[in-house]
Amino acid sequence: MNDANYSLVLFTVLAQGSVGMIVTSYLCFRLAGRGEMPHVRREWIMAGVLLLAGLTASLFHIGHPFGAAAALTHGATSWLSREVIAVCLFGALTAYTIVAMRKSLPASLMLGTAILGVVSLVVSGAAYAPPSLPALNNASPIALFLLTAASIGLASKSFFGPKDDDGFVAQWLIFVLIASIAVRIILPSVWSSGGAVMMKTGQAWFASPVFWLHIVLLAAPIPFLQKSKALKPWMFVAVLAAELLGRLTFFVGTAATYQNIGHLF
Amino acid sequence: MSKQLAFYVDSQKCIGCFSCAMACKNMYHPEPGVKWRQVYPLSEDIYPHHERAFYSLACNHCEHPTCLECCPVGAYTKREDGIVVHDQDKCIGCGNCVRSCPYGAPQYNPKLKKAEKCSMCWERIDAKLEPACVQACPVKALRIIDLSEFDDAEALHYPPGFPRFESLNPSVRFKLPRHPHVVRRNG
Ligand code: SF4
Ligand code: SF4
Repeated sequence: MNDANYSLVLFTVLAQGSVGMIVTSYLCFRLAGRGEMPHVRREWIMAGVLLLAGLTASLFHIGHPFGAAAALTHGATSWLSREVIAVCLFGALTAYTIVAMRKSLPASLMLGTAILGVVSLVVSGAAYAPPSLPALNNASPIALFLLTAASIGLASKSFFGPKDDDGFVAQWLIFVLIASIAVRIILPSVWSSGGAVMMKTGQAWFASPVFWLHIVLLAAPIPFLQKSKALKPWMFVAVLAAELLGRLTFFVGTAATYQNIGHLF
Repeated sequence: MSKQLAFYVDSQKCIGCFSCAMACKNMYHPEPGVKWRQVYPLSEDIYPHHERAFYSLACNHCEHPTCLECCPVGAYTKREDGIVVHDQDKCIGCGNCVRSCPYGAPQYNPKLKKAEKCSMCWERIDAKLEPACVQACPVKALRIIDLSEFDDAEALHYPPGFPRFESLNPSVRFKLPRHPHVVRRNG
């Protein structure tokens, strides 16, 4: 068991949620084939606010937050530096796009921001895959972060119109929620059959009530979405809470190699 | 290979007295709970005897240190003699090195809100003295070796109970504990 790093839980989930909202908003805007839509700018402002809240939360895990700018300086080898750089660039481009949206929707700028958001998410996944955590020292953080972004992004559509998009978004949300649950059950199952440290991680995740609560909250919207294809605000709240609890398990329940020194690996 | 200083941990000699860890504490006065050197007892799966065996471990001053790579402010440097040094003036206390090192060497100082770790007493080494832990060991179970010259076919790099990370190439070598001589009564 590790310390609950609430500031990193908030930062990662909110930043990924923000990427998910921007990608979902862009895809709905393109796929629905409509021109000017007033809700799009509102969505992007909301995503920007989420990112800002995440970035602010991230400062609280640093012992000396006023030195945070120095974290931009070691991008040559540090994935954490690269993450900070990518997230800041994504935030700056989001802000610029929101300003540019006052006149009309700048499709290519929106696409560029969405792509940069996904890149920041992948970089962030690499930053949370250190050698000390064998269960996560692979592509699983990236997969988990992508799923977080997709589920929060799609669920956020419950707050923004137009309602015509609901059926299409609901179908995707059902798919993403089922995939999220499957991945979150499969990963600890695989770890449970691995080496000693991976096994401890799998067992700790499965033994945690917080982990199971997050699975229940992820599953909760599925039957309602299947029945009515209508997105409701409570679904966003359930998905956000599920992702926060899931991330808490990610930080608290993942065993490190150094906790096993002196024992068989 | 260029010069690479390393700890040699002789588990055959080590009696688990913690003098090395105490000497380190006396030298650097870390905050309570912060340990730069730890003495790890081997589990019974590895050493199934009534007697116990130990590894005395600190930072391994790896050839490719993950702490140095992952630190976002470049607070770590590797000296020409291979010692990995942490610069507390640069550290912003993000905890990334603490989370990333598979050997648990960097520790978070809750008072200073910064990381810190074993420096192999480089100031003492520069003054041609032994590190405090090496000097304090009453049975000479700890030594400093230079891996560029070290040639002991029996020394182990990854004994059981020590995490294997070839990509980091930890600068440490071990001698395994001796299994006790068992006398059996026949009949
Ligand atoms: S043991 Fe850990 S802290 Fe020491 S050099 Fe290796 S990676 Fe860095
Ligand atoms: S805690 Fe300090 S030394 Fe460790 S990674 Fe963060 S800034 Fe670098």
